[in-house]
Amino acid sequence: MALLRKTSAPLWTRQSFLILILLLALCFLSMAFGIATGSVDISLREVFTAMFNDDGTISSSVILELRLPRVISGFLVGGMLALAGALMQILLRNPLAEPYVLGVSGGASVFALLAMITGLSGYWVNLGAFTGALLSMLLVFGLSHMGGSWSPMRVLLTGVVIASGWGALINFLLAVSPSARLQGMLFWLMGDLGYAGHPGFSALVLLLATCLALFRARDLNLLIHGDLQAASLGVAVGRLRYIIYFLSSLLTATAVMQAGGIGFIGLIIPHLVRLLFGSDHRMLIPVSVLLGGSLLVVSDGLARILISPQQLPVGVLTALLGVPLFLSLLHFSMRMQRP
Amino acid sequence: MKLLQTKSLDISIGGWSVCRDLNFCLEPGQYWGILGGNGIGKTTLLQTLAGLRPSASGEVLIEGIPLCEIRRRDLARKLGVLFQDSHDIFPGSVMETVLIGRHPWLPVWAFEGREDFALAEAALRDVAMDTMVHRQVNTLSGGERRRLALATLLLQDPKIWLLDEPTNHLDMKHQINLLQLIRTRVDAARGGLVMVLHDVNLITRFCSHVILMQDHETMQAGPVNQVVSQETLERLYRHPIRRVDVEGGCLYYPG
Repeated sequence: MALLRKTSAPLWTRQSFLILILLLALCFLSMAFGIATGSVDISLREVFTAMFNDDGTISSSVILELRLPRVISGFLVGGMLALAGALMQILLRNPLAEPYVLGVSGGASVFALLAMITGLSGYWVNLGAFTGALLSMLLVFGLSHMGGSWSPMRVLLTGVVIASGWGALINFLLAVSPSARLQGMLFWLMGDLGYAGHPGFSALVLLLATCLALFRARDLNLLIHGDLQAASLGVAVGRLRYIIYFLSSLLTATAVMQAGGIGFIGLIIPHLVRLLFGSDHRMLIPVSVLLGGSLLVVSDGLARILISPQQLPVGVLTALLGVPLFLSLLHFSMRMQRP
Repeated sequence: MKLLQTKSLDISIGGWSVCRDLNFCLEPGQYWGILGGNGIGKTTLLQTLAGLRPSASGEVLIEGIPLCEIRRRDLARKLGVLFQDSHDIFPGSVMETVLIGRHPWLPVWAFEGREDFALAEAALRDVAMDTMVHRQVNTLSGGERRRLALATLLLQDPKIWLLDEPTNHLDMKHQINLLQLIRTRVDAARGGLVMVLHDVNLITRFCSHVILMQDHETMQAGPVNQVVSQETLERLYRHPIRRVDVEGGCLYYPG
């Protein structure tokens, strides 16, 4: 029994429609909050007028050129991480799996830091991160696929070992890099939306991945019951695993490229959604995307104003908001399950 | 029409031969039992017949078509498997779990409709689980999980039934009731059944044919009354077996 849905009832009811509407409203609210907060105070009414009517004032240019792209990037990154986490947990058959567990972000970080050390900035850092992420993904895939068998355990172990290898390289790079560059590098590692590039590519990746995952959502549901059971009910398990692996890696690579290593969302959002709405992927996937996006946008907003004029890395805020939220939901659901 | 047929099937795991040159044929209305000691490869054989693991050589035919040429989805409408046990990483409700049996019958993009729910309720009623639709699977007992898995298979509604120790965890009443239920359903579908069992007396009661998996090379297959005897069972288990005659047949028990 999930907190907000009767899991033994049909999935597509008026109630689930209502839930999706409310979630969409939550997304818009969080985006409005994200746009309105910052070092320049802008009222919500100004936000709405600027969105629909560029009147050339400072606040409208702040909104349209600075905050709106950042909020959209934040939303996309949050959605991508949540979706990647949900896919990774089902791929590895492990509730502790998260987007970074297989070393995708480690590879990205090493290459991004290398770019920063050599004095490159802006798009080069993002490009480095994306290259590193893809490289790590191919490395783990190749190594865990050698010899033919491709069990979740083998992928997980290979990925975790590769990730710790990247971790060592990251520490090495931090140790030898000049102190002037250190704070920027640490911010990047903790995850920061300030580096986000144009959100177009992320939007495309998230949209395609969500559609593809939703299309295979019932197949994903069957994977919950194990590979053999899924195969005996008509799922081409091998092919589905490849699809999940490449989708979640691409999502993670794109998210890391945009915002560095923002933790917590990819691990917790899928679990939070399961507590609230059950583990049917037709619900889990869209709700995770919407909720993950909203959480990151709100966290980023708070990270910018909490100790302003200084900014906090957004990863700090996602965890600070998410930990109490998740623990209280866990508490309620345990209480509900008790007879 | 032969439902399931093997042609000189060889199965091996990591170079270790499980069965060699198996030629067997399942026809409508036949009930095959598989008997053999622990670790002899009964489950491996069953999974190979279901196309869930590759064979070393030879082939499996489903209604005359080689297994490897049939799409998984089409195969799932013809052939259903009951596994020895289940591991759900994110356990759902009983209703959600039983509904996966409808998967091969629903279009890729479809939601389960009223009709699917009605079928699921009927299947749960058949296994006496209809009062537990809202329960979470992880709160069920071993026997209840077994009945849930069987209800899922009832909903899948295959013609060829492959069951791996279907009576595990079940009490005596449910063992008999469920095997009888399966027999009714198999007969209604003009289907056939292969099941692994450790209970010789259930095999002699419910099966028409039997495969004895003696060791990796020797197998004996044929009608139950020709193959199962005190001597063959003693050889099979390397253990003394007693036999008592009862009305309408005989019972075997370990000595």
